[in-house]
This record gives sequence, C-alpha cells and structure tokens, in this order.
Amino acid sequence: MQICLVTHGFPPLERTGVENYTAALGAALAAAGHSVEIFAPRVGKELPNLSMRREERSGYGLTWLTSNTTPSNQEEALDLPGVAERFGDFLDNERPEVVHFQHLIKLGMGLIEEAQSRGIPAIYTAHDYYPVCHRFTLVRPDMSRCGTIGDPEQCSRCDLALSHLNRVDDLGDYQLGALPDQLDAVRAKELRHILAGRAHLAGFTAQEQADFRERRTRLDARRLETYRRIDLILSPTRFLRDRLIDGGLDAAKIEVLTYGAETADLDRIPRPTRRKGEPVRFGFLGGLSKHKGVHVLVAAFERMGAGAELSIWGDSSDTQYVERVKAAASSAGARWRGSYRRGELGACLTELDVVVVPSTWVENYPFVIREAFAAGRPVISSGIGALPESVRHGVDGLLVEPDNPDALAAAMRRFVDEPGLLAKLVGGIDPVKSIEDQANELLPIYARVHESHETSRDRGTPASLREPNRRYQELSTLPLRELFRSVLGRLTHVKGMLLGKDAIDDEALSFEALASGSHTQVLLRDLRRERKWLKSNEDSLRKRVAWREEELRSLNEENRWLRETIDGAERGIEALRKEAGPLRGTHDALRERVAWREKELKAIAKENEWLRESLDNERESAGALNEENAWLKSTSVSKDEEIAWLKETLESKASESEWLRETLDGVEKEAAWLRESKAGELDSMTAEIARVSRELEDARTEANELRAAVARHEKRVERLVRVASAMQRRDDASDSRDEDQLDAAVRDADARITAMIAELEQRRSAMEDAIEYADRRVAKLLTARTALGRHIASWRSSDNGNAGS
Amino acid sequence: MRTPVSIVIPSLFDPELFERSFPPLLAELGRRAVKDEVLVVDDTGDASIEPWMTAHFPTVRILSRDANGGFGKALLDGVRAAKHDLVFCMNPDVVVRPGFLEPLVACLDDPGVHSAVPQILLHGDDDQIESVTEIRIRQGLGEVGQPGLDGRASEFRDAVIPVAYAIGGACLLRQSEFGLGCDPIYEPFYWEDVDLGWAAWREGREVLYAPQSVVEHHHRGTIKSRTQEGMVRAIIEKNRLLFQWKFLDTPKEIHDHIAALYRLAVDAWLSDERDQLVWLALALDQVDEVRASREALAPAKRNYAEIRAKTGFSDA
Repeated sequence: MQICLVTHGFPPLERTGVENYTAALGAALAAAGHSVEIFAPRVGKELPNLSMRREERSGYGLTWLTSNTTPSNQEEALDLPGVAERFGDFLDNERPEVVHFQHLIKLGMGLIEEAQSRGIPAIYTAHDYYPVCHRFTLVRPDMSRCGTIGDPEQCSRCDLALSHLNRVDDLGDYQLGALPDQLDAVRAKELRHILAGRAHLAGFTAQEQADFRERRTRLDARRLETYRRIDLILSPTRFLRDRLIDGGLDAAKIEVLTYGAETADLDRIPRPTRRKGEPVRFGFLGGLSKHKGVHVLVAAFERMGAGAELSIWGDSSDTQYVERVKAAASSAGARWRGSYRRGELGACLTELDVVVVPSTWVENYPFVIREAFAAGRPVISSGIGALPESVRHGVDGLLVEPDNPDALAAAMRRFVDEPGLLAKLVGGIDPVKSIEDQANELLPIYARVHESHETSRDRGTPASLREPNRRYQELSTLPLRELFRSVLGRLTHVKGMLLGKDAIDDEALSFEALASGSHTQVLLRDLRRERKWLKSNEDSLRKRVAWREEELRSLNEENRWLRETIDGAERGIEALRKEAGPLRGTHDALRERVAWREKELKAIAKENEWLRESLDNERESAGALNEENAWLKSTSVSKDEEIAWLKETLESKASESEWLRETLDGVEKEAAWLRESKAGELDSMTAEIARVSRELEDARTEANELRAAVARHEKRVERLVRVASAMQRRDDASDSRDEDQLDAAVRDADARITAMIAELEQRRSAMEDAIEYADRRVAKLLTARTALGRHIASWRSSDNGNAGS
Repeated sequence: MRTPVSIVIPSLFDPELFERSFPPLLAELGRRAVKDEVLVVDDTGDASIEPWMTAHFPTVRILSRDANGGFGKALLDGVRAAKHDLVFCMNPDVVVRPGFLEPLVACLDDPGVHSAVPQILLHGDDDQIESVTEIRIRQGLGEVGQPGLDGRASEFRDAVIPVAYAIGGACLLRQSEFGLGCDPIYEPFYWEDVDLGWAAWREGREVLYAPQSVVEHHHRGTIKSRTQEGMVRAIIEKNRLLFQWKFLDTPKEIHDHIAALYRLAVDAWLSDERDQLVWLALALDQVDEVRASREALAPAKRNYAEIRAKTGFSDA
C-alpha cells in the first residue's frame, strides 16, 4: 500500500513524542513492505520558502516542506499560506492511497481538503485535543483545567487572557499560560477577571471582547468542520474520544486505538530491584513545559527527605521555565540531566527505578509511560485525564492527586518506606504494544478506509468502464517517479515493435528526444530569460524597495504617533469612563425620578380629567342649587307672606279671642242676665260656644301645619348645607391653579347659601316665636273655653235646677 | 430507386436525447418511404431502453445487449443485426436534417468508397463543422485535425472531398464490409472510427465527406457524465498513441515518433505532468495487443505518409 504520514515536525529537528512516534511508525510500515512517504515542515532560512526537498530514510521517503513563515494572526495559524497547495503538489507526485495525519499544527486545515479533493481517504490520529481546543491542552492561561468544550465564549476568554499575558515581561512561553507565582497581584487579578468573563475590568473594551468572540467562533467552526470531513479519527484513549465527541465530532467516525512504542532497545534493560541502604531512584523524562508539572515533582522531592534520588531529563523552548525548574531542582538536590536523544532513552531508564509523570493537565497518552513500562519501570502519575487508562493504581504504578506536592511526595515516600512495593509494581507491568504491532493494526484500517472510497467511486460507472477506470486509478496513484520509471522501462517495447531489429539505442533516443523541442527545455529557457529580465530590473526594483522601505519607515513613524495618540485617547476615555461611573448613577436616579414624575403627571392628568368631569357635574349641581336657591328664596317670600298671614290670622284670632272674651264677658253677662232672665236662651249660647271651640281647633291645626312646613324647610336647608360642604371638600382637593374661577364661583355660591341659611334661620326663629305666641294664645283660649264650658255647665245645671225646681 | 438504409444507434439510456433526435429522424425516413429501419442497440446491460422506446417510438427496433460493452461492441452488434447492407451509424445526440441520407448513399454508389460522412455541425452551428478530418503530426506525435472547427468551415460547404475518416457518430458504411467490427484495442471508446477510416485508406479505398448531407451534433458527453473526465481524456490519449503504433510504417515517422515518446516521458517527469505519464503507461499496457493488430494488417496499398498526403488540409 502507498501510505502517506503527515506530521508537524520530524527528527532530528523535532524530537518530542508525536515526531518520534511518526518516525517509528513510518519505519515499521515500510518494514512491513509498504511504500511510505512522510510529509513534514521545517524552518530552513537558507532555502526558499515553501520549497520541498525529499530524502530517503530507512525504507521510507521524507519530504521536507520549508516553512519560513511565522503566522501573523490566528487565521494564518489555522491555514498557513501556501502550505496546502504545496501539499497538493506532494500528493500529485506521491499519490498515496491513504493519508494518515498525525498533527496539523504548523501545516493547516487545508491539507485535509487537498487530500479529499484528490479522492484520497484521510485518517487522523488525535494526539491531543486540537480538533476541539485551539490550545490543544484544555488548559486555560491561568494553568487551570478547562471544563467546557466547544463554547466560543469561553474559548475567546482564553484568547483575551493570552493577549493580556503577552503584555507581561519574563513569562517565557506565555502561550501555554502563567503559573500563579509568575504574575503580580494586579495582573493575576486581571487574569481572573478575564477568565470569569469580566474582561472590561482588565481594560478590554466591549468591542474588543466582541471581536475576539466573533473570531474565535469563526476559526473554531472552520477547524471543527474540517475535522468532521476526515474519514476516520483514531484516539489512543477513551477519555480523549469522549472529549472529541463533546466538542462536536461524529462518534461513529472515532475509533480507539492505543499507541505502540519502540520497545526493542528497552526490553533488554534489567528490571529495577530495591537494594537495602540504597536510595530509590525517581526520574522525569520529557518536555519541560509548565503543564508537565516538573515544578510539582521538584517541590515533592524537597518534602521527601532521605532515601530518594531524583533525575530530570528534558528540555523545552520555554527557557524561563526551564531555568526556574533547574534552579529549584538544584536547591532540592535533584540531578539535572538536560536533553536526551531517543537512542539514549534506554540508558536513561537504566538509571531509574521509578518514572514520574506529574502532569497538571488532562494528559492523553504519554509515550514515556509506554517506554517506562517497556523497560520494566513502574510509573507514578497524576490521576487525571486519560492517565488512569495507562497506569493502574497499585498494579503497575501509583496515581496521585495532580498539582499536589504533598500527595506526590507521599506516593514517592511509599517506595522508600515499603520495601516490597517496587518489586510488586514491576511484576504488575503488562507487555507493551510494539510499534510493529501497531503497524499491523493500522494496515487493515488503511485498507478498509481505502476500499470504502474505491467502492463509492465505482458506483454508477458502466461495466465497460470499470476495468479501464481501475487501471487509470491505479496508475494515478503511483508515485510519479515510479510511474516515470515504469514508462521509461517499457518504451523500449514500442521501439522494438515499430523498429524491430533496427532499433536504435535508448541513450541516443533520449538525447535526441531532449534535443528536439523539449517542453522542459522551453520552460528552462523561459525561466532563464525571466531571470535575466529580473536581474535587469533588479536595480530599479532595489530603488523601489528602498523607497518603499522609506515609506514604510515613515508609515511606522506615523503609526507610532497614531498609536501614541490612540493610547492618549484611550487613557482619556478611561478617565472619562471612571468619571462616568458616578454620573451614570445620578443619571439613573434622575431618569427614575423623571419616570416617576411622568407617571405622576399622567395620574394628575387623569385626576384633572375626573375633576373636570366632576366640575361639570358640580356646575350642573350648582345650577340646580341656584334654581333650588331661587325656589327657596321664592318659598321664603311665600313663607314670609304665610307667616305674615299667620300673624295676621293670629292677630285676628287674638282680636277674635279678645272679641270672644268680650263676647264671652257679654255672654256671661247675658247668661247672668239670662240666668236671671232668659234661661231659655242657654242652649243657643252653648251652640255658640261649640262653634267658637271648633274655630279654635281649626286655628290649632293650622298652627301645626305651619310647624310641619317649617320642619320641612329645616330639612332642606340641612341638605343644602351638606351639598355645599361636599363641594367645598372637592374643591379643596382639586388643583387650585387650574380651577380659580370655579373656586370663586363655589365660594360665592357658598356665601350666598350661608346667607340664605342665616336668613332662613332668622325666619324660622321668627316663625317659631309666632307659633309659640299663637300656641300661648290658643292655650289661653282653650283655658278660657274650658272655664267657659264649666261656667256654661254650671249655668246649665243651675238652669236645670231652676227649671226642675 | 432509393436504397433502404439501416440506422444503427448504440446507446445508453437517455430519454432526453431520444426525444430530441428521433422525431426528425423518423420523419425523414417516413418521407423516404423505402423501408429504412431504426435499430437502437441498448448498451445499458439491463435492457432499460426497450420499455421506454416501445411506449414512445414503437417503430424503432431495439437490440438489448446482455452487458455494457462500450461503443465498439455495441456498434458491431447493431451492424450485424441490421436488415440492410447500408448502415448509417449514429450517436443518439445527433439530430438529422431533411435529405441527409441521399448524398451519402450516392457516395457509396462508388464501390471504391468505404464510407461517407455528412456535414456534422457542432451544436447546430453552421460555422463549426466537425466532420472534415485529417491526421496531423506535431513533434512526432499524431493528432486528429478538424479544420472545419478552426474557422475554415466555409471552405467545406460544397465539394465532396476525401477525409481521413468518417466520424462514427454519423457515417454511412456497408454491413458487408464491417467484418469483425472495430479493433478492440480501442475499447471502451474513441478512435475506433479513425482506425476504420485509416484502414480503408490503407487498403486503397476512400472515405468521403458529403456536405450536402447535414446533421447536427448536440454534444452531450454521455460518457463523461458517467465517469471521471480525467479518465475519459486518458482513454482518448491512450488510443491516440495506439493508433500510431498500429499504423506508423515509414522509418522517419517511426523514428520521430519514438523520440517524441521519450521526450514526452522525460518532459512529463521533469515538469510533474503526471497525466501524460498515465496516458503513456495506459498505452504501454497494450503493446502486445497493438503488435497483434499491427501484424494482422494486410499489406498496405498506401503508407502512412501517403494517406496523410491524400487526406491532409493543414501544414503541420
């Protein structure tokens, strides 16, 4: 099979896990009889950018792509300009049947698309979280472990935080993040704010935050979509597979396949044994990055006390961190061993009893564990991420709480204190899968994916075209040099067929061919001419370049000035922003008050409306009152007249009474006379008294009626007083400013009513006096009548006696 | 008296083409009223054309092949099954114009004429004539020339002239001369017709272009829609080489050609032109078959250079 492996670096230039693994896998696949081509980038300042050079390695080919461009932004980091096109050229030459990507950092997403556009199936081994985390590690810039996957808001905070850390000096490799003690209190607080979604408290504007969010959303979507197009993703652990699914990749396209390791040189190393009185030899091997936790290991070693040794092998580009750990290691009495080559691994492991993997991130599948096990060394490992899938606690190693020097020291101490522990754990180590085993596992996977592609290609092709199509595909997938060799070797058959025994030799034909109109020769001539022309233009171009550089300098100057201006403006804005804080509070309070006032105005307007309606009603009531008043006045006049009449009547009654008294006197006299003389006239006298009594009764009835009329008037007056009082109260509640006239009118009406009431009161009092007087008179008359009656009765009895007598 | 003709149409299932091509064809045959026949060779391999054709054009005969075999095999089956000696081979994307048969039949009245080709207008454009053909040699490699597509159509309006071959998509030939049919080295398609015409010239016969007969070619690329374009091009280029390997017979041209093959290979390698190497490799796969075809050829009455001289229109 023709297999292409793609990786982001390759030995001897890059020597960490994935690079060494790819080299080993390439060799193993080639050793199994397959054609293997490896594609890897490198920096080569002495070579033209994007040039390709092929080398023959042990059984496989390695094509270096010179990549001298540093990405100037995140978009370029995701799709490095020109790289995908060159990979396309590489694929056209090599025509692999399957491309197995190991990593795409430093290369870009476009490589997957180049393979797919040529119908070449793509497989990807996820060595870390890159498909779902642009930071690869699920580690946030404060070195904490990320609990969210695929949330652009959270991911953009990491970008903001990195931008923040970029301003801090002496952080070393800030891209990975900063350890807590690397930041001063202010910076650390700002970092916390940023990661908690309060970036404005660290000086980021809302627009900046929105820009970061938009870019992260776009870039992550591009990365995820490209990974979704891969035919098959291999994950060495279940933990990583689950995280990839969490991040949005299709579970059906992800298979778990553990790594194999180069174990041949490690199997033969003697297993460690615990010798009495000798210290336990602990060691770390690997990249010295912050998240690998070597600082935790050194701190743990410091706490351990006697009976142990610690050796540290490794290096990294984060020189600040390396120096810091180196100093700490020296102070703790650990041995600093520096970098090591893959070939030296066996020797390193020979010097160790136990390998420590103190990672503080959710580590995936460290090769060093496989290598330690191959050499029979137990492993103490942080119990996070996929590490528990590699190390079985108490069987072939110990798992400890990450980022906890005390816990790690305690675990290390157990090897010192428990003499049988080392031997027990060494005995628990299972055989390690070799890289050859893994090559044998991969080959059927490659074949399956390839076949699935072929089957889909054949679908719908007429039967007569299938065989030509198959052969065409076969030739199209041959590496170009093989195709050329095959053609060149067989051209001689044509020559033999056409020329028979007169055939001319190949060499002569080749020279003749190249001497007559070679297309390549034409191209080379064109290139030479172009070079000549370019050279002739070089001077003017140099001048233009110099002019451009001058222009660039002035632009830079202008840029610097603009930046200063912007900085000044930003400072001004910041000051204004600070000033704006309290003003905003006042503004808000005012706004609330205005809102409240507006509400109040609305209520007043409503009340006004109601008052206006009430006023109209009151006006109507006032009209009615006026009418009533007028009526009352007229009634008062008639009552005056009535009272006058009553007075007159009373007077007449009085005079009548006087007359009656006189008449009575006369009658008495007459009675006396009659008694004396005309007793017969008594009856007529009695009748006359009865008539006078009736008249008196009538006068009393009239007086009572008059009293009832006065009572009715009193009730009406009382009602009017109540109405006037109610109007007064309503008037008091209304807006006096708007209702002056009404108020005056009401006051006027009130005064008039009060006067009228007073007048009525007076009249009532006068009437009562008159009635009282009339009553007295009536009483007197009644008394007189009674006396008269008695007299008459006595007269009668005396008359009867006289008559009887 | 008019001679009846069998119209043989090798085809895959493409109702859209049938609906465009058949009405004018059947109308023209009706006008001729000489018991011409239309025979469609169903090369789908699943006899899917017959039900449709019976429903839409019941007078058309159908010959269903058991399996898809490509143009050459389907044409051979059709010609063998034809009722008449004169066979008009036709692609389903050709639309005939009235009176297209008589000028061709007239050409074949001469027994020295092997086949005749009408004026084939590309997409019905009067200024694009496909059927005036020659074999040109460019830097030792032969290629088909079509001057009627190079702005010279007006030169080919009136006279009956010899051409290198009769395009297989619309040509009249005799059933009795079709023999074993097309050379299988060209399978699955393209260059079979070039081979037929060139072989005729080689045997001393003629192939004529009859401009009074007019048909339109509404190019649909039925094969290209069913497979990769790169593969179709590779088959054409492979057959171009095979044709030369079969017929080249003059020392200078052979020498030039072999040198050209080496140059082609080296240039392709140096310029990363994979396609050309694939074409060469595909042709080289068939060296033994070509050798057999070459050895089976009868002694030539005209050599390669002479035929080119008789049928050429351009200075290569």
